[in-house]
Amino acid sequence: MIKIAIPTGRLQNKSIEFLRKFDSRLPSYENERKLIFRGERFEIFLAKPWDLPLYVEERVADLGIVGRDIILEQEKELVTLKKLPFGYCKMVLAGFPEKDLEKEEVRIATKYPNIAKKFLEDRFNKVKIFKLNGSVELGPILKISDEIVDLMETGRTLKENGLIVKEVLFDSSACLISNISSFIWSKKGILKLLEEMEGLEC
Amino acid sequence: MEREIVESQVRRILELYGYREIRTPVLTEDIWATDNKSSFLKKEGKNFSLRPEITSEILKNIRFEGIPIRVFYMGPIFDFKDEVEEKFQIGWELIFPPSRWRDIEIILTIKDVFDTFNLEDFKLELNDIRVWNSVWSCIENSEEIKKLKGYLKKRDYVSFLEEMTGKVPSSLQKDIKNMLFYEEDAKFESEEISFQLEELKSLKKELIEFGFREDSIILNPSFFRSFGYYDGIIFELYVKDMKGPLGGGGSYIESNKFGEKVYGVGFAFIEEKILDFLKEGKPLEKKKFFIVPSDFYASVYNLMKEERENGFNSVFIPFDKNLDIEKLKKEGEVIFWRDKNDKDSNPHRTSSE
Repeated sequence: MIKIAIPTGRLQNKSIEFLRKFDSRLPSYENERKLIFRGERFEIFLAKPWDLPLYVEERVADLGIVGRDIILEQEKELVTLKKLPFGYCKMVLAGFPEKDLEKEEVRIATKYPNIAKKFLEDRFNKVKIFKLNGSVELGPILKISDEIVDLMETGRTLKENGLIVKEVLFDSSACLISNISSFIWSKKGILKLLEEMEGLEC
Repeated sequence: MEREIVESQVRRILELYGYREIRTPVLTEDIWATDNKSSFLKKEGKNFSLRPEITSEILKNIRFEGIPIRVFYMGPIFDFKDEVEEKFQIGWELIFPPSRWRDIEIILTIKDVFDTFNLEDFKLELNDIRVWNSVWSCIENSEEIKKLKGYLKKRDYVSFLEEMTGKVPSSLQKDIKNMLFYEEDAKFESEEISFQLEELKSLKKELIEFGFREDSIILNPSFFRSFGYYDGIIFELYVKDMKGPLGGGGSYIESNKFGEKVYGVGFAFIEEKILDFLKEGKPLEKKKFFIVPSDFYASVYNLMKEERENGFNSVFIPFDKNLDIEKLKKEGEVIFWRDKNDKDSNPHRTSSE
């Protein structure tokens, strides 16, 4: 039985739906309070998206499904195996159209300080990063920051706040991750599942 | 006590292979001073720090003159990444130009050392970084190669494949995917990749002939290690239920302080990582307690000597009916010697558990 952690929130139903293609005995998720359920092949448990990589890294689960944004932000010791065909969005640098990016110091508001640092540190003479936990668009509106780095799904929130995308840093989607130990000890089973997933996409 | 036993077991095995212990200064010139926080002393324009690892210091000072050099080391190393952390590293190096026997010997020493710790359920992840040579040769920009290797080290295969798109001929793309998710029966279009992987498979075959279980060696061409000096095989040792590898190493090429190239292969592990696993296991030492009436010391001396020659610690304990035998059994094998029905004055072995 492969233990898989899936995230609560926007990827939850899509993850279960996707995994049912490989384990038809997996129940459809009806009882929202139940955190662990089993099929024939998988044992699933639900975790908060930002906690999920830790559960996988610590071998509570063999595999996990989580957004690429979280994987790149946290840099846990994991194997990032595969992009999955759902949860598409983009990590963008955004701000007011009139703001000039050629400044000495650029102030960035973001939920993703490591990603902002990694992608933007070399671009500007000085980058000052403000870590916010939500409503990042408020950064430029309240003049806390010049720009924001955030995940964009449709772009509606940016538009409604008068912000535009200045650069796409990377495309994100749900990804399948594994802890290194499971990838070593259960490699055959994991490779078989990957092959089945590949076959489904073809 | 476990620490001392681990260290003495490693010493015993390695010395039998002809390795000798080498000590290097804990305070070293900090050649990494530009990007870590470990330097705390500056003198005559040089930065000094507590060593973050030991191999570099050895390679800097070693000179190869035709005869294989075998050295091992044990000592504290310091990690300054998040908070200051002291760890105890044990490792060994075999200095000799690249050759199959050299690589096999180092892997056999690893097996012998960890067999004595009763760590039978381990897996050795094995690669030869040369399997990627034909891929890197398609990419001109060395910074891009560095970035791609970085993704492999982090095992981020999604970013790796994304970054690789358009950089190599489409004929290589399938081979690359097969290397990331490698199965030993996979077929490769590139002759060079096929050749390197066949070499790796034949190394595995030889190791099995030397006593490795087939499922204990995992060939993984997508496995990379952090140090830039590797030039051939690399490996990491995994123990079931342990987070991350127990230790690792590989074949390398490095320059010494005399400007000469030093070729070698080495392995190192952090002692703290293994200690928890040893607490619950069988006795660590190959120890035999000979419980014998004190008058018969001379009679069992030769037998104990023989056992010592076989690598067992043979310990004489004068018989006493109040001895705590159960305590001794936890530490090793207990062998009783008594008179034969009090008729024969020669002692004889009565039980061995």
